This record gives sequence, structure tokens and C-alpha cells, in this order.
Amino acid sequence: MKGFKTAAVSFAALLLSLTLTGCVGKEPNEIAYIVALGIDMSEGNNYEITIQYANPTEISGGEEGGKAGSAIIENISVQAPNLYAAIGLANKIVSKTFYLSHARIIVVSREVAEKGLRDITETFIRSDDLRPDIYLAVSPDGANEYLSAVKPAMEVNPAKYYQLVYDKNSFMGIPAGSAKDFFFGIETKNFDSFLPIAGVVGNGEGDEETGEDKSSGGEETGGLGESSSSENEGGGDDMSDKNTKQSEAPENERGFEYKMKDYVGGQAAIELKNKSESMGSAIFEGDKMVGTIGSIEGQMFKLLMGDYKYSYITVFNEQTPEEPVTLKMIQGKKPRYDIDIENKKINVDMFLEGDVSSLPADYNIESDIEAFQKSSEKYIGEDCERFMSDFIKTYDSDTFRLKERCKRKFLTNKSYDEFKESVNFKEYEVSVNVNFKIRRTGLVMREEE
Amino acid sequence: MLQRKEMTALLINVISLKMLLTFPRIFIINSANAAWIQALYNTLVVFLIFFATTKLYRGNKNVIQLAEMAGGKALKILVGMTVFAVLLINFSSVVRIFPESVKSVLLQNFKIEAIVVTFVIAIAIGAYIGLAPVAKVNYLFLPVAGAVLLAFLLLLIPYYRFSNIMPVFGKGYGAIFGKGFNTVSLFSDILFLNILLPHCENAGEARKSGVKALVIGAGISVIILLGYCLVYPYPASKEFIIPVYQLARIIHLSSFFSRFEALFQFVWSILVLLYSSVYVYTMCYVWQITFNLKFYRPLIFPVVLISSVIAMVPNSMLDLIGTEETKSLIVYPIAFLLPIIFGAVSRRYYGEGRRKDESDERI
Repeated sequence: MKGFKTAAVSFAALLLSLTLTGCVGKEPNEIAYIVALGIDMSEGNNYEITIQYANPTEISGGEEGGKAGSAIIENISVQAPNLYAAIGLANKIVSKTFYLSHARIIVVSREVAEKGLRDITETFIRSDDLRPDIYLAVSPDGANEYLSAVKPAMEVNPAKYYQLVYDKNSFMGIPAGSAKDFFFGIETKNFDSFLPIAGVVGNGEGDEETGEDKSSGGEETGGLGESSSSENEGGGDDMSDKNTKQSEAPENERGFEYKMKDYVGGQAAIELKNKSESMGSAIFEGDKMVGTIGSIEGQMFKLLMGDYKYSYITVFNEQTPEEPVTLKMIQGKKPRYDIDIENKKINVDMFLEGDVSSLPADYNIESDIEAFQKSSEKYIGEDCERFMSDFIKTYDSDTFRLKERCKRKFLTNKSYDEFKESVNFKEYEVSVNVNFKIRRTGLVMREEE
Repeated sequence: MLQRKEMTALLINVISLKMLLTFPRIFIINSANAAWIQALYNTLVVFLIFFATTKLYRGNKNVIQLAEMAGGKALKILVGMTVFAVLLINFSSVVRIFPESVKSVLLQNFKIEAIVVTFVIAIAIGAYIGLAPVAKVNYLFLPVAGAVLLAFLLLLIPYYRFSNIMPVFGKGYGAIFGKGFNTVSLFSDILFLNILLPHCENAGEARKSGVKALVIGAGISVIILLGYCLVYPYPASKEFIIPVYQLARIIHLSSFFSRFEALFQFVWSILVLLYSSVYVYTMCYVWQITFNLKFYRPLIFPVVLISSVIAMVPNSMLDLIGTEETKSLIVYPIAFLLPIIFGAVSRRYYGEGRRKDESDERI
């Protein structure tokens, strides 16, 4: 018996030492890590799928450090009916095996988004490789175009680049775009989603290469607003670092984000080398894209959803009508929704705080702080109310999650489902009240004159 | 002989482990976002059953031994085989579900047969070592698993959405309190306490272990279901095969902490191995006392073989999960009724009262 035990223990030790010291399956240097996927329409029922993968030999640069820009990523495009078929095909083209667990974003073209993303969400939700928090974004310029334009100038890790860009933007005017939330929306039918717009900056050189279709994203900019567009003469052919699409973005003349341009992805001037950017939001009804909103309305949407966190905003000031006051606005508390089903009323109470960041030099805000707070409350409230009301009347998209907010009024799913089927929020009256407080005035506090 | 704390830890493992596999899905399908209320209701029911059983039960003989006392060898064999069948039905699901889950999430390129063989070898070794060492390791490991579960629930806080558990009664009162009665099978492994009664110091200690294990096991089940319902809205929540794994995948704290499932898979694997070792040991023990065998170890190989063969009968994971609910419907009435019936029988032999037999029957 003792001999058997010794043999068993020896066998176990040998088994462990042989099996636990190596990688199961592939060695890391045999794997190509996908960081982004792009999906465009193609001929027939196929998609053109762009696989963007990290180039590890350029990322780890030894003592000199890794490279940046286009050197750290490679793109490969194949035509296939879905993501995994494309990866299977691409595996035959490159020496390494593609691996999806580091993929950070799936970019779809506008055509694909308008056709519907149900099949794509079905793929990622079944996949163990793709993470549930992978970002989804819509590119009006085409997914391949966007991924080809991505040249991270300040990052050596391309997956990190997408994470930083889309996490940072989640603080401001674009939605978080989590694939998991998008899936929840279309599966439960409790709400609809917004996804970020991933655009390509149009400079003279780029426009020549890609034709004139690239401006399609800008056509619907500020679709809900009444902003007036101002002419921008700056985008000349002789200035290759200028963005010609910038002139298409309308300038906002309303109180909230006064004098700011209402951009969607591809319209703002950005880094000289990296022509990709993310701004504005694509509106979805179920799994289908039905429109876009710009960065200003995107900020209002985040404010109304309580996802704003903080950012800098400009507010119209009656004392200095030519120049706005810039505030660092913080949303300390989620807005409170009161939906009166019987009287068909939606009441939203928002709670905001702000620090004064910048204002005209000859204006003494300290002497006028109460009035400024009141006027800011009025402008922010009016603009958010107008946006929400127009949005609900324009689209059948419940991106404000109004149905979900009514859930607590019902005891069982059956009664809630009946309500969901019958409710028409277009008939509801929207009212937004803002509670806004200036907390700090920077490092300066001027005395009253 | 097992100490009370070891028996308690062992029972917590056997009760709660199902919640780490596919069992939460049965609750969700039945009651939707009110699955956690159903688990609370099941807890109440099982406590009533447990207290009824302990009121009736006398002595520290298990149902098989009492069957022999009441009806001779024939009844003993009938009861012994019934208990064995109940344990086998329960266990064969785990023998298949766990390796299938490992294949889906960890070893996608491995053959399922290879994973099953490795798994059963590991549990056979555990059963060979014996109940006491496995119970001791389980007792040491359970706090680690508890800490991981706690960290897991805390890390999920940013993902909780209160609206996901609304409307509060989900599919309705009928679904929760009517059809939902069947998921009391979650606690069917409390039968272990009865089978392993001779391994307890006395009936009183066993009773205390049972109460504590039911409270903690039920608490874990309710918390897991509540956490899952708070993160995943219905009907999306009913689509995932292994809900707890799905919760682990979702955790992502900025850029510095993600892929929590790696830690979960480690804890999960150890708990399943301990659970399975105890199961194999108990099945061998049932056979041993049913047929008055001197040793249980020669039974390990055939028991493991039978379990593996039965586990491989369903053609796919789809077939396997399809039979899960039916299996639990067969198992739980037997698991709860046998101790009640033989509890009544035990009064004939140990009728002088619980307090007295607790002091007299010390081993």
C-alpha cells in the first residue's frame, strides 16, 4: 500500500510539473491580437469585415520604447457573412492565429447600422472571446475608412488607445456605447440605445482619396436643434491639417453651449496625424439606426440620463451677450424622473453644480452670482426640455429609458408588458427643471464695485 | 468523525454549488426578475420541511440503517438503491455540466472526453483519500471562496440597476409561489446530512449543522440571484447558461482590473472538485452500508465509471440542460420525504425523546 501511495504521489507530481509549466494551446508569439473590428456592407449578403490587429514587434521596442501611429497596428479586410467567418478566413491569410479577447471596439458603417445590428449582437453575446463591455460605434464614413484613419500618436498599445478615447468621451458628449447595454436594450425592448459616432477628419488630401461621400455624417448634424450654421472660411485646400468638414458643423446660438459648434465625428479639427475622432451619437430604434445628434445634444442627453459626470460648458450670459461664461459643470446627483401616466406628464429634476472657469475680463460675476445661477438654470432647463421634447416627438426611440422608469409602477411583468405595448410618449408633456449652483469661482473672488 | 464546523462547511458547499452552475437559470425562467423572491420562498419551505423532519427524527441512524431496522434487508436494499439513484441523478449532471463549462470558457480546443476523464480521476483521488480530509480541506477553503464571493458582489455594485428587479413580482404570484415550489430541489442535497449522520458527533450537532448550512446556503443563493437580477434585465437574463460566470465577466474597473472570471474559475474548480469528491464518497458509502461491505474504496472506480457514462448520455449541452428541471423534479420529493418517513419510523426505536437520545447516542 505504501508503494502504491508513493507511486501515486510521484505520478501526480510528474503530471503537474509537465502540464502546468507551459501554455495550453497557443504560445503568445503565435497569436495575433485583434484590437478592433470594422463592418461595412459588401456585395450580396456578405459584409466587408476589417480586422485591425496589434503589431507586437512594433509595440515592444526594447530600450528605445515602442513605436506609435500606424506602425503599431495592421488592417486586413475580407468579405464574409459574419465576424467569425471573417476571422476564419483571415487566419488563412496571416501566419499567426487571430485572438479576439483584446478587441476593444466594433465599428459598423452607417449602412450596416441602418440595416440592423441584431445579428452582430447575437455573435458577440455568444462569444466567450469578445468582452461584454466592448464598445460599439457607428462610422458614417465607413468602418474600414475609420479604422484606416486610426493612427494613435500618443499610444504604443492600440487596445489602450480605444479604451482611453471611448472611456474619456463617456464623460462628455458621446454615449458610452457598451455592447452589453445595446444588447440589453434590443433583447428586453425596455429601452433603445445611442451609440458613439466614429468619424474621419476630412482634409484636402483625404477627400481626394475617398471621394465626397464622407460628409454624410454631417448632413444630419443638429437635426433636432434650431442652431444656425455660420460660414467657416478657414478650411482651404492649402492647409492640409485643417478639417474641411468643420465648416459643416452648425454653431449653437442657444444658451447652453453658447457659441459652440455642434460636431459629429469627423467634423472637429484634431491631431494632424490621427484623422479619426469620436463625437456625436447615432440614434437607434431597436437594433436599427434612425438618425444622429451632435455633440451638444449628446451632452444634454447625458445630463438627462445622469451620466454626465463633468465637463466644460459655455453658457449665455445676458450681461456679456457677445462672450459666453465657461463653467466646469458637474452632475453630482442623478436626475429625478416623475412620470405621471394618468395625466401624461414627464417631469425631470436635474441637479447640477459648476465652477467658474473662464469669463470676459470686465465682467464681475461675483456681484451677479444669484442672477447668473438663475439664468443658467433657465437656459440649461429650456434647452434640455426642448431637446427631450423634440426627440420624443421625432423618434420612436426610447433612449431616455422612459418605459424602464415606469417599471416600478407595476407589480408583474404582464401588466408592465401591456403598458409597454400601449404607451405613446409622443402624447406626453415634458418639463425639465434645473437646480444649478455655482460652488467655486476659481482662485479669484472679486469684490463688488 | 466530522466536527460540526466541518459538516456545516460541507453542507454549505453541496447546497450552494448548484448556484455556481446552471441552477439560477431555472429560477429565472420560472419567475423572471423575481427569482430571488422565489429563492426566499424556497428557503422558507425547506426550513419548514427541515424542522418537521428534525421534530420527528430520533437517534443518529440514517434512513438506510433505519430501513433495515424497520423492514429487514429487502427494505434496506430498496431504500439504499433509491438514495443511490437520487445521488447519481444529481451527480451525473455535475459530471457533465462542469467539464462542458470548462470547455466553453477555458479549454475550447480540448475534447470533452479528455476533460471528463481528468475531472473524474481528480474526484476519484479525492474520494479515495476519504471524507474527513476532504471535509477539512473544504472547511479551510470555504472562507476563501466566501471572500471571493463578497469581493465579487462588491465589484458588481456599479452594474446594479434597481429597475432590473422591477416589476417586483416578475412573472406573477402563481409562478413564484406555485410552480416555484419545485425549485426547493436546490436544497435536496440536505439529504447528505441524513446519510452522513453516523459521521456526526450526535444528532443534536447534526441538527445545528443543518440549520446553519441552510441559512448560509440559502443566503448565498438569494444573494447570487439578486445580484444577477440586478445586473441582467429579464428576458436577457434567461439566456445565459452559467449566470455567475456571466456576472464575473462583466466586472471591469477602469483599465486596471478586469477578467475577474480567472479568479472565479479557480474558486469554482476547487469547490466543484471538493463537492464531487464528497459525492463519490457518499455514493460509495451508501453502497457499502446497503450491502454491508467492509471497504468502500473498491467501489470508487465503478461509481465514477457509472456516473461518467450516465453523464455522457445527453448528446449536447442543450439536451443536458433540457433535462435538468425534470431531474430535480424526480429528486427532491424523495430527498425530502425519505427522512420524514423514516423519521417517523425512528420514533419506534428511539421514542424516549430527543433530549435523552442526544446525550445517550454520543459516539
